[in-house]
Amino acid sequence: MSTALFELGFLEAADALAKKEITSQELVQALLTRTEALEPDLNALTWWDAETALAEARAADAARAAGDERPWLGVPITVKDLLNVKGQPCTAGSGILKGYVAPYDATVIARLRAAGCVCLSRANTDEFAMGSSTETSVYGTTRNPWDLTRVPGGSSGGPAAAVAARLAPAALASDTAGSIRQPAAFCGITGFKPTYGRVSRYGCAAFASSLDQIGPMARSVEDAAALYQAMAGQDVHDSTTSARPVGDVLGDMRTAPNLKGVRLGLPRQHFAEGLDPEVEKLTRAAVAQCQALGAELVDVDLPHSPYGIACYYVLGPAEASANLARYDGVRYGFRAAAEDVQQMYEQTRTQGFGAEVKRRIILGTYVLSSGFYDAYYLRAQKVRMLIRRDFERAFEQCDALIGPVTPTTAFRIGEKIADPLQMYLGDIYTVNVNLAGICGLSVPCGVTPDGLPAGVHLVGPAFEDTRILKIGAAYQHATDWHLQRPKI
Amino acid sequence: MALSDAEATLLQGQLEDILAYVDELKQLDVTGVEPTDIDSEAQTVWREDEPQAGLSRDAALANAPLARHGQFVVPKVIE
Repeated sequence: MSTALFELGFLEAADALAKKEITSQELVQALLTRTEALEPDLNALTWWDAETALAEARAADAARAAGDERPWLGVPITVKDLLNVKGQPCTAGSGILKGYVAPYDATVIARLRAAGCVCLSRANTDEFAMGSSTETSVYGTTRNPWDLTRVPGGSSGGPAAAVAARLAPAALASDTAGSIRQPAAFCGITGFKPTYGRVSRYGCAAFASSLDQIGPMARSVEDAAALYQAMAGQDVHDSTTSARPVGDVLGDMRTAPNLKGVRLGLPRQHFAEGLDPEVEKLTRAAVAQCQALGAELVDVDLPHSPYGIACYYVLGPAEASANLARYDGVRYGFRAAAEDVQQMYEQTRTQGFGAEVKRRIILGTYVLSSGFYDAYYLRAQKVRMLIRRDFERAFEQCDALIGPVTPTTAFRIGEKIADPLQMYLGDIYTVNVNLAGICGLSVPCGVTPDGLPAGVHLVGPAFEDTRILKIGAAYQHATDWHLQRPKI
Repeated sequence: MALSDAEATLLQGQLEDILAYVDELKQLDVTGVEPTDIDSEAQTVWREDEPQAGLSRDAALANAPLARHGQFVVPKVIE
């Protein structure tokens, strides 16, 4: 093969392995060599172990030689440090999970391992996925491979940087308010947040359980769809997963090379004040490209969209404050030295959690406290219903929504970390998708004059995941923005 | 959690900013609006109550900060 092995995307790697043009061992070795060379600059990963990875790759090669034809046999992926992979550390980017080694596989990991995938490394995340820049991890800041002075986005900045810099063909990550889609846009890759209930969260460190969803990050929509198909579907370990059949996602995608008859809605509120002119220009060019492929455009309204961030900063912290109560220093992770049990709880959390997590726990317990529950939590749950209805009305007029993923391109490291509210506001276009429980896809749509990528956001109704993947794939068949890569 | 004086001062300002922003939710009329349930397809999920193997005791204790005689060990609780 003429291409360097680390350049192969997920499906390309699977294809080359199936044709026996390469071995998993060669591929893994190429990625490990690249990792050793680039990690000092990027800090995209929290853990990898060459011996373990090569042993898994050798086992995959041996299985193939013995006739094993599983579709993703020997294809390596990186995993956000929030998902349990048996035998590997899982820290959620937090000091409180220091030393924890996963005793079981998350359902998504079990499914991908069953399909043959090799879990190559663990990728950095904001602590407990709380952040938009991967600056709150106990492992330090991940740098954007397009510009090392800038953030990769977050919370899945590690997976995004790793996939963009060719440290892995693809990644598994999670999205609570935009944590897959925003870093995908900042790093010029494809990121998909499936419909709530489509993918099991069993084995994923819980942040805000009514919003968390696991999804793929990859170099193309087809690669993302392949991973999505392998991990989606009902799971007895997560009762929010739907029994609806997932279908043949990849097969369906390949039947639609154009967008004839597809109605795309442009939310007025997402092309309003606050959107960077360069990002707007690239987004509008993507819209025009979709129109050229046959899509019809309609203007739609999401009148409650501007309230999404406020709604999220009540509900997200409220749920987090409950979920994080499990970290008490008793059964796993870090425990502070203490004289008595009360002091053990207090000091374990004081020393184990970082500033952003503490901020959200305090905010969450405040909005849930008896005197303020109605004013904050209950009101936010009602506003969430208004946001959900906005989408239902919009989808009466169109098949999918199209707009920017983020108001700006990647910002500078340190630029927003001292002002949490400014950091939070960057999720303005993505957060409502989580509040409504629907699906969203971030697809690269160009590079600004200062050399930074931007993403276009496709949003579909609940359980119409395949629909937006098809639209994204049709766009990528006609464009080559997803083939642009950082010069690292 | 315990906060140092410096942390408390910093957090106070930040939380005031966030709560002032969150107060924008009060501009909306939510009269008659039902609060969102978590899952629009929500239903009680039933399964057969069949015994299944979970983590072994050793695996469950392997991550414990302190374990002895097959149990998690914590500082004394009862005086």
